[in-house]
Amino acid sequence: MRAFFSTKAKGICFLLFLALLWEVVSRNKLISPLYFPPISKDLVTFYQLMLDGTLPLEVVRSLGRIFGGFFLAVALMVPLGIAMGLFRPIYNLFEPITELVRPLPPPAIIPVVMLFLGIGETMKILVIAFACSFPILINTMDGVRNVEPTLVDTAKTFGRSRYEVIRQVILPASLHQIFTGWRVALPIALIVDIVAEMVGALNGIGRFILLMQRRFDIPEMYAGIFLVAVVGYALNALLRFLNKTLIGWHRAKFEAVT
Amino acid sequence: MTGQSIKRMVFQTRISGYLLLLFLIFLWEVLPRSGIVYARYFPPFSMVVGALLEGIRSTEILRQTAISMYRAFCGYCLAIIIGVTLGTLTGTIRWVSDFLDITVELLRPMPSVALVPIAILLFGTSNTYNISIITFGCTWPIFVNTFEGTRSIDTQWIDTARVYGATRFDLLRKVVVPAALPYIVSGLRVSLATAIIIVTVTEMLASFKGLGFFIMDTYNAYLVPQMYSGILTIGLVGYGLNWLFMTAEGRFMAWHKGWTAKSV
Repeated sequence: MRAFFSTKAKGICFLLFLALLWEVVSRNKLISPLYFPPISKDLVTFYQLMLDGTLPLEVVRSLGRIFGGFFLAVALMVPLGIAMGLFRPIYNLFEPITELVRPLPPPAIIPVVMLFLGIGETMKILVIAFACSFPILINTMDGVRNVEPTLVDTAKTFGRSRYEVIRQVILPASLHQIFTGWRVALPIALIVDIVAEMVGALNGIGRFILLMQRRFDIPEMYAGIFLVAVVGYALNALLRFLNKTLIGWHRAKFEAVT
Repeated sequence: MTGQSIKRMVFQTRISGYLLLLFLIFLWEVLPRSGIVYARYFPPFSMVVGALLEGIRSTEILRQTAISMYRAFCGYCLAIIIGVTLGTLTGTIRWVSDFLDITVELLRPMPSVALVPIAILLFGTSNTYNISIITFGCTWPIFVNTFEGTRSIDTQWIDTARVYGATRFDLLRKVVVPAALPYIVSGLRVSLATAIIIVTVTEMLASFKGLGFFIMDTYNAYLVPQMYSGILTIGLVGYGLNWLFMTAEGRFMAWHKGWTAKSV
């Protein structure tokens, strides 16, 4: 326990040191404070904007889009991934097109979607769903394909029907990897949402940051960036928590088998 | 050949997938031409290819690609240097990881694009702006993988090397780095894709050159076939670079397979 506290203390010291460095560099005008205001000022602005509701409102809008796109991708790609993992013909049918579209940077399709849908909610949700699709699809497919054949054979030996094998063996055994796809996809959703909001939006945290920069409200801009960092950290923590509670049983159960 | 065996051949191999691809391209050609999809927004495939060829002939596309690749390459190389160095240091020296731990945990989930406005303020729309964001985004996968790689080394190897009188530097050069290399390489692969994404994004948001700029510029000028040709180029570049990486990995990392079969 004491060792734990001492290691944490070192980490916190370093963080405080960086904050102090930021403060000193800015106050001594080593980098123009116009562009790089002292961190104390940024933090106060952050606090004020959080209290008066400006930042929470923007971030709720962004989170709505992020989860909208993410769940759309989950709803479409998990079934497709399972089908591709289970049935060879379906895999053969969709594999070439996935391989071809996958290397395309998702934000590059923003202008195309904007042509058809303008800068509304649908545009962002579609682009986010597109970006999330590939990690989810590929991990689901791999997870289903990599299920230990012994498990499937055993279930078959005990007279389980095909449907039962899928539901009772293949899905639970590949859940871990399916979740890995989600874990990769959610941070991507955040990135793409911010890009989409910076390119074309009327609100949202990405738009807020860029707008503050253009208005030269620099402490407000940093406050927005702090919030993005907090959101990124929170999403990460959420995923780690879900991984522990939902998938924790998985390791114990399946590592014993394989 | 009987109908049955043709059917089997089509569905048991990827031929069906390529046929689907051809069919989609056919749709891309026919739907706009027949007016079912608005052709101003979704020009037929042949027009997009025509615009691409025209762009290549006038060297416009080639120049924009070269600029984007230059930026991505610089950022990627910087990220390799920073990521591998920091990852090795934190992975092998206890107090370094104690100090950096919390800072890394806070910065890593930060979406790199959120830093775009800061970079614009500090660097304007110069290459430094693109490169700094690319470096930030690409460093994390390399850093984390290097860290994991150096951490996962079998302590027996280190002890054995010590017994044979390896100095600290020998240990690093002959045991730690080779053993961590497969991890580092998988970090490099993730970062390559990240570099292409970020260079596109930064150019879309604020630049006057590069493929990302080209897409936004043609979008704003309503030159829709040209816009699609830019997107097609980015896709092709991404596909090509990934292919190059996989080929190089297969060639240079082949030694690793038999050597450490059980550890990875």
